[in-house]
Amino acid sequence: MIPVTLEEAEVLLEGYAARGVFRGFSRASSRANEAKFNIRWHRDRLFELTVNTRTNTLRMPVVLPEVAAKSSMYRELRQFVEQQQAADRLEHRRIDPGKSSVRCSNRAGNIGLTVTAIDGDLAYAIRKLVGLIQEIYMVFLYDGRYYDYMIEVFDLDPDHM
Amino acid sequence: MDEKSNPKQSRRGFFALPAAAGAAAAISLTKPAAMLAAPIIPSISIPKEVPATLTEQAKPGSFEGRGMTGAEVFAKLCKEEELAALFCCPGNYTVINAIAAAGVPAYGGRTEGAMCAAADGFSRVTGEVTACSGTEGPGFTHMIMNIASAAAARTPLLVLASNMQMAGDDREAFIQTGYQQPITTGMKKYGKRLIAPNRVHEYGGYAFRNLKSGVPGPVHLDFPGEVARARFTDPSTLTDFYGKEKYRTESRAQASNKDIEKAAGMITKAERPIIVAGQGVFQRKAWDVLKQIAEKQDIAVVTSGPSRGHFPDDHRLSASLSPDALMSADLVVFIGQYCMPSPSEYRFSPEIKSVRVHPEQEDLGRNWPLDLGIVSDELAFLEALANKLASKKRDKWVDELAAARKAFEKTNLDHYALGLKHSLATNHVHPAVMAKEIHDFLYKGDIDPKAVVTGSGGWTTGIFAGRWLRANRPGQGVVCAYQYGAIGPDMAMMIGAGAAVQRGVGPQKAYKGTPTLVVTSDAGVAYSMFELDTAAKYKIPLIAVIYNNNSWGMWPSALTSARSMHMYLFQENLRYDKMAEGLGARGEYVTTPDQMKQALQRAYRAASTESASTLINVQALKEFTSGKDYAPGIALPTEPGVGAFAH
Repeated sequence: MIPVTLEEAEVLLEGYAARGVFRGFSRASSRANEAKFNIRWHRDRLFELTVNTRTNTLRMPVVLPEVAAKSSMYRELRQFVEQQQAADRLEHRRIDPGKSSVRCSNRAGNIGLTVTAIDGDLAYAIRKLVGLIQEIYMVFLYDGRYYDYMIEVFDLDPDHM
Repeated sequence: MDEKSNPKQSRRGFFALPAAAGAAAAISLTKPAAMLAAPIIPSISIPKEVPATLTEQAKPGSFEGRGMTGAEVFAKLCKEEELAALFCCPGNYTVINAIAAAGVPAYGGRTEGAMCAAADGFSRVTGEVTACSGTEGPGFTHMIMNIASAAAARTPLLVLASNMQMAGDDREAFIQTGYQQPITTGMKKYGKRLIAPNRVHEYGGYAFRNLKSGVPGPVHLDFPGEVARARFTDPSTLTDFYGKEKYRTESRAQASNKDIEKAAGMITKAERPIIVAGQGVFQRKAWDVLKQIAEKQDIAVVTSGPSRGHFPDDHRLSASLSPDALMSADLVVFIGQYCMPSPSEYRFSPEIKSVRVHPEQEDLGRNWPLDLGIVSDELAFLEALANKLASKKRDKWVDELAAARKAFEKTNLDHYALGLKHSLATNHVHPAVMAKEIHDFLYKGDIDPKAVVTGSGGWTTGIFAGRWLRANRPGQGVVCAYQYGAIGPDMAMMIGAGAAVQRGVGPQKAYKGTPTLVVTSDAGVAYSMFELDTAAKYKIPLIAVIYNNNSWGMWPSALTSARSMHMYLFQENLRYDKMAEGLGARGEYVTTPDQMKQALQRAYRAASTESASTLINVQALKEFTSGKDYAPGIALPTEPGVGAFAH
């Protein structure tokens, strides 16, 4: 395990911006052991990410908005996240539950994700969280079941893919 | 449909019955019974001048006698440059007549816009330069949507239009005056209003230099009368009047050894490399060496661009049907990807490394930050890489691609099962059912799965059909709505593609004369259905499947908006099949999967034996697109891969 400082976490995240994965990136605020970053990413949305090096957690409070806690979509998303950690998943696509835990939350319809680096390997956790959000937006949402959601929440149409 | 067994629905009957009934009703009030005989309705027929003039010998212009017109000078150059075809509506008369007389295959249709799309379609399945033409002002502006579509697709399309006379500039003399070149700004590679008659050949050279070098794109020339009708009896009066070997070159950018070694090293080191083979691979006819490279190192290949099949969908290394595997790739090599996506538009891992090979330096690094950018012609790069790469097996990667393909096909079948349930419950055809019936007919029956060139467009239609249409050889697939997202050019585009197949041009040679098939929507059909007349006139056999859900595909956008839905809807149950019959094509109307199967069989038979086109009106419900009410809803296409219509 290699401990990661906030500065090193920032460098890691900036790397995604440099590779064009994020369309925009900045540190919004910071205090001891914790920093908030703003990331412009999928659907041209601004994602907020909190990195805490004391608790080794990454928290993104709004990954998907306007999803009711009792909806089938939320249930299916939790299953999708669980599948990312399943033993039969290909190693290069898997989130190793021995290294990082992933938890979904739903507050007032906002689905959030918290990833904790169990072994303290925050660099691994960052990579896996970024990969997971890519999977949610590029795989999970592409299922026809969420077409109506995409129109209602993200104004999806051929002019706004 | 068999006209003999069902005379009430024959083309002739369609017009004869209501017309006769109306006439009889009117006459019966005032005339004796002897005069009640129904009027004779003549059959739809092709004028004898059509086949007669199509088989005439070419008669290019000559400097002898009265000399050559500017149009003839230009036409001669087009012929020497092997312009593959001209699609036009009358207008720009001097130029289109000269091009036809010079021996370039020429087609005359019903609207300039559709003819522009047809020229684009011809090029998308051959890679060849094609031309479209229209009259000044109205004809030219009618082409605009499809010029823009061709620009987005980087089609080597020569756009021609007459443009009154220079002598009338700024005087609004007579009609149709307009400045054309500013209108095509942003949708052409090069353009010029020809204003010096003696430079007509020189600017023809400009046009083909741009059409045949680097990244292709539309070239727009407008011809004032003084240029088109100028007369030349002596070649010395023309500027730069020399051959194509002088005004352009076949020399191409070559990657350095260092770049090739670097790329080969990155590929060899990668565990799960993938090549995105874009339009440049097709344009440069580099499909054989691409396959050689892929097989040498078990590299996955996914195609992108407006044409499909330059890496076959049915190849074990094709990732076009393996969307789940895309996110596993650790290195992407873009080759000939003219329209670059951003990383969050392609289903790749955020960790992926990237190489891009492109013929023009200034585009490298645009949209997608690169680990290695290489300036090179696509074919030259692939040939050099083939020599450099050592063999390597990647069994796990190959297995993953196969598993992902299996999963994709299972998902398609799951969608079909749901669609079938909805179809049977409603007696309307669900789009997943329509798409699978077409798939099974083209690829699982008696037809060679490499034979039929297909294209699809429309929103709902295009998305569902895209998952099921296959391209197993170069030029077998057209993404009609590619990148510009135009709804409607599909039918005309596939008539143009059909013309290429009819002539056996380029990669269509082995399948010369085979019918083509287009799947489009009731929204789209309005833009180019009249070209069924053109298909019939030239005996280009097209099977047009129209998904008729009585609406524009984006009707759900109006669900939460007051006073809006009416704008998204058409009359229900419109009979596009009947309209097709009125245009000289066959019509089929289907509401069940079984009817769909039979209609496809009849359509293919008529296309193969009589060169007849058929429109199959597939009656559906707009609500099928709702995932809430009719699962699976619309599963958006993954980029890159089958069904993708961007980048």
